[in-house]
Amino acid sequence: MSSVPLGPLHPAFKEPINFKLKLEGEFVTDAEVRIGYTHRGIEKLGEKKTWIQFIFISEKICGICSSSHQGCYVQGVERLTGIVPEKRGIYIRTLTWELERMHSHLLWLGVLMHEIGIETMFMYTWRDRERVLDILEKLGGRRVAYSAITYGGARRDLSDSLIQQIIRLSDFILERSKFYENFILNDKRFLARTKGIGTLAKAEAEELSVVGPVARASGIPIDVRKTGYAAYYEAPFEVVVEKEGDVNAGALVRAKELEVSANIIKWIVKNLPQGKINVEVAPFSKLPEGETISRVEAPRGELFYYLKSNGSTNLERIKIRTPTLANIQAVAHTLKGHYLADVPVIAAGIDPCMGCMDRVVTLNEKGKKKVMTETELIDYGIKWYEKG
Amino acid sequence: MIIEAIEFVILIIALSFLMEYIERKIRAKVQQRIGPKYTGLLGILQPFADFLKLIFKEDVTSYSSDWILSIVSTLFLLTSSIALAFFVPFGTNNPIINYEYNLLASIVLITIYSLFVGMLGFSLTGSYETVGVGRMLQQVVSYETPYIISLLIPSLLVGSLNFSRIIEYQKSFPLFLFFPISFVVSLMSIMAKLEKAPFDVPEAETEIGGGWLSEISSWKLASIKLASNISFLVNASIIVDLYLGGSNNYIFPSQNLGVLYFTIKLLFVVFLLTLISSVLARYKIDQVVSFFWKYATPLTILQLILLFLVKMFS
Repeated sequence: MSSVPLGPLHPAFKEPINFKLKLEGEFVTDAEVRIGYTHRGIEKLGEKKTWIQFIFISEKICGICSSSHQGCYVQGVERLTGIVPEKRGIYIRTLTWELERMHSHLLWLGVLMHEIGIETMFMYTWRDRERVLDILEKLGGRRVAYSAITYGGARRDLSDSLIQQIIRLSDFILERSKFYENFILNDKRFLARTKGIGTLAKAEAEELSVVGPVARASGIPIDVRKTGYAAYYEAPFEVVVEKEGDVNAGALVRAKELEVSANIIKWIVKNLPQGKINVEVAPFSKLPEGETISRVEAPRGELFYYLKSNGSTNLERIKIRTPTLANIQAVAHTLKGHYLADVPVIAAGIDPCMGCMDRVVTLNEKGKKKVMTETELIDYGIKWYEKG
Repeated sequence: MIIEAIEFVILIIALSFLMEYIERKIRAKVQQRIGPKYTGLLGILQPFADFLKLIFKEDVTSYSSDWILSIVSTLFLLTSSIALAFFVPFGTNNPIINYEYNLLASIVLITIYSLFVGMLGFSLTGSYETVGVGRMLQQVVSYETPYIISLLIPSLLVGSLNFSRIIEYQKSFPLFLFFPISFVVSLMSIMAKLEKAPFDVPEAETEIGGGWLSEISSWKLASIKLASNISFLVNASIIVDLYLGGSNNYIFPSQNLGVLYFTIKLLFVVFLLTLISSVLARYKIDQVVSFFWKYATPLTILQLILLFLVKMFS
């Protein structure tokens, strides 16, 4: 019996996270997850900045699903202030989200292939992803944090040549997603590493309240897009659901969602309404008092924002719950009973994004204060060190 | 004699660098990349540049590791892989050290290589190393048996443990036509021995961060990589000599161009191994063990039985 720490710095994880594994030989008997290595205090920063400034900070929360965060925040503020978004802007916003889902899923497929050890497939997926990033760059101006979304719609309009390029891209992705599906279903070595690995049964998935593609791979048909925000209440699409709940099913769900995204994009480009793309907002205007929530389906699952305003130019409280936080407990649960070689595959299987996940967690223990003055904190520190 | 030996060692080291370059270039082409390009003509000096860079890095050794054992086993590892080259013919019929049982000597040196790798692993004490060495020894136990049986099968047919005799025997046909199973098994075993892609279980960087290599740095890492390259070259040459007819050519028979024919066959083997290693997903250690003990070993034994039956009735 040995205890092996996996992380915080480990080649299997692109971002810091720690798994304490109890091993018997190569067999994992117990796993414990520790998070919080990349806490950046973004929620607090959001309270210091005005509601217009935070729109550019919100997309820095995640490097991959940047516009999902931005869109979720903007959607919440629109609900709070009563700004009615322009229809064309909403369509372009939805287009950005779907392009982002494509690039995120392709990135994840590449990471999974890398964890399994097929470097060639990693190169292929990331090469395809590069084409999506090129379009996103033309749409927003940057490759990763494209700032494509603003109040009342989108920041930049689509030109005719860009629309042609987007149609070509979605045809290309449709073709490639067939290739990936074929690979995921038929490659023997890939199946040997992913079939039956990290299986999360439907009941367990419901109990652990997982979200997004992880839940859909376990047979739970949840998708926030089906609640019908933005252009999704008009766009026709089907929720991809698989039954097995293992890493292979997760990969299949994402490969099929590439196809779904490409079809949604084609529909949006075809039915793009004319008109304005955003609403002008006075720079230092005050927010009305109140609170609201906002949900979008980020590439990794349900993204949740809680916004509270007290009537000033700044928001009083911003609470962000990212999909990774909902899914990370499922990893610690499914790791038990697998080999050490499966740990990176299972951990990568939920598409973790530690950077977005880390929030401050305050435990309400009995007899302990939550807020400390400086001298109290120093006393506490001295006592803590004397004890240890 | 000594000068010749030194020349031969330098030749082998240069060839092993060339081999690594070719391997990296093929892998890059498969993955739609460019590969090494700038150092030397078409990047041909890149492996040598990497080697030099590694040598001049700081040697970091942890206090808990047995540093004497790690130095000794690194040197033995390099020496054993170079020593093996003296017993194997490259493009001619005769190796540098030519005596009656040089295939047997090669097999001993091939086995000793694994022993030194194990020794090196045990000199290190980190938790990743412990897991890596455990995996490596399981892998050694798995591939060693089928590999040695498949190396001995041609010599059983020819009735000699001498490379020259076996190559001469293949004057009119290569032996892999007779023994396709053991040919494939020996190729897979080479990949397991050198920890190439589907069998890179002991050093799987996404699982155990480099495994038994993760604490080794500087000249030790450079020597181990060099030893691994030389071992790849020599083991592939052994397969060419035993199964593909060495320097024989079946289309344009010629006495003088043996080296050229040998090189083409060697490149074919390298190409095959690189192609396999770049398209397959990594095995798990239990899958490695079951691959070699459930499929490879019984199949090589079946090949052996077939050989005995043929010999009995002919």
